[in-house]
Amino acid sequence: MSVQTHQNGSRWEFITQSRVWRSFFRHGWPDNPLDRSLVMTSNIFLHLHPVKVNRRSLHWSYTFGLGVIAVVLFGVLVFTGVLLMFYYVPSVERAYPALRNIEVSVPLGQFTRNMHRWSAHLMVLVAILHLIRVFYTGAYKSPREFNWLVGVGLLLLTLGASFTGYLLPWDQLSYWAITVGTNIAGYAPLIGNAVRGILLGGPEVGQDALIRFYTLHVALIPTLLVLGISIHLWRVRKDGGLAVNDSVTPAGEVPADEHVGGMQKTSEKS
Amino acid sequence: MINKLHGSSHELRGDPYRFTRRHLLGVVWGASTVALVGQFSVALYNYLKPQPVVGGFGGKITAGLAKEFKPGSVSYIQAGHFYISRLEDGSFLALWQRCTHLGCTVPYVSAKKQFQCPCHGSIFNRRGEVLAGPAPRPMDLFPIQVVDGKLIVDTSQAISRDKFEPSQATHV
Repeated sequence: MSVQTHQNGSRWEFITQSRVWRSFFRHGWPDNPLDRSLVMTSNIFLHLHPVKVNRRSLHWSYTFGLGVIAVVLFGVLVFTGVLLMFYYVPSVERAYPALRNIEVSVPLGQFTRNMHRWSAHLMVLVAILHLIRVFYTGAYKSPREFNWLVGVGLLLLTLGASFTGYLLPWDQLSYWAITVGTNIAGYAPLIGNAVRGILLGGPEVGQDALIRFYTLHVALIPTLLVLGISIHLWRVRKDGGLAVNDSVTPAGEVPADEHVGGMQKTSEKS
Repeated sequence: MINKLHGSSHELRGDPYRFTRRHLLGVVWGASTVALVGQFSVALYNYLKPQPVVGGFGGKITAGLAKEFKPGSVSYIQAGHFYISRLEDGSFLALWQRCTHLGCTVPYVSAKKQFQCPCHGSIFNRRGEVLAGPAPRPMDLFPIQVVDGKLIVDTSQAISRDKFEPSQATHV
């Protein structure tokens, strides 16, 4: 059955038969196997999930969903971060008062800021746990070596976002943390002082550093993260979905090529 | 390999390592790309590196009249982020307030005549020498000029040093 069955006279039919409508709704109502599969395969977001998944990788304890959790946290961070940008001003005179304003005057402002802060802490934690999970399940091995490198890049970007965001409240804690942090960067051989200078825009943490950290935090790093996450998820699919770990169940108990899902459903033995 | 790629060309068959027009264009293309990326990198670095400051910290700061500083005293010049330390012999040091360990601001504790860093416990004397703590070298100096009896301190470039020497101090 398709949308057209809900027609209520010629006006509704005129709308649903129009080229604009049909270019947007590219398949019928998902009440039959074909349209149900088209919902998945013709949607970029649902399409990210592979059509075939290995039976063993469906156990929640195999991945703990850590990668998905990290992406969800990133989404929360983008949403709450954009909300905070409506009030935050990256100036040394106004940054901390703007923060206090968000906390005490803006409806749900403190909630928004806390969501942003805790999600940021959690995202760093979850990204590290995700990396550990991939390591211990051997999922970094060929053919997934390139995706491991992409993942390491994403971890560094996550830490960069965390570090740059830490300065923005412009309180004593953030000021001295960034002072110490950028000086540690200055100890790197050869490029250390250049990196420190580019980060701070001056010899000390000040207005130049604040605007640079802000720009990195709200523009450059999130853009690179979106790009990197896209490549990361694309590679998961291209490399054949989640890695199957033979050690989860004794070898031979489940055939290695057994998959469940839309395209290939195999017997229920095992 | 190359003579296979250029199999139709009669004179190439004998010498697979002959430098062909294709090689030349490849080298020109590669060199142009390297030059372009290099030019872009240098321009980007120059765009992003810290810019010189006129007035205020990062520029030239007038600390005051030399005779106003007593020998053996340490005075904080907030606008310049440095201390004027006048040694017993009457010479001057302009000590940057920045700890040489990890960059915290070092307050002067006049009761002990020491600079004590609150972050990781480095202690410096009035000549900026390390007495204790993780600081790897003495406090950095800024060059002092004496103009009409006034101390003019150039805060654009700090001087790092391994140890104190009397020649580092400026005499009026």
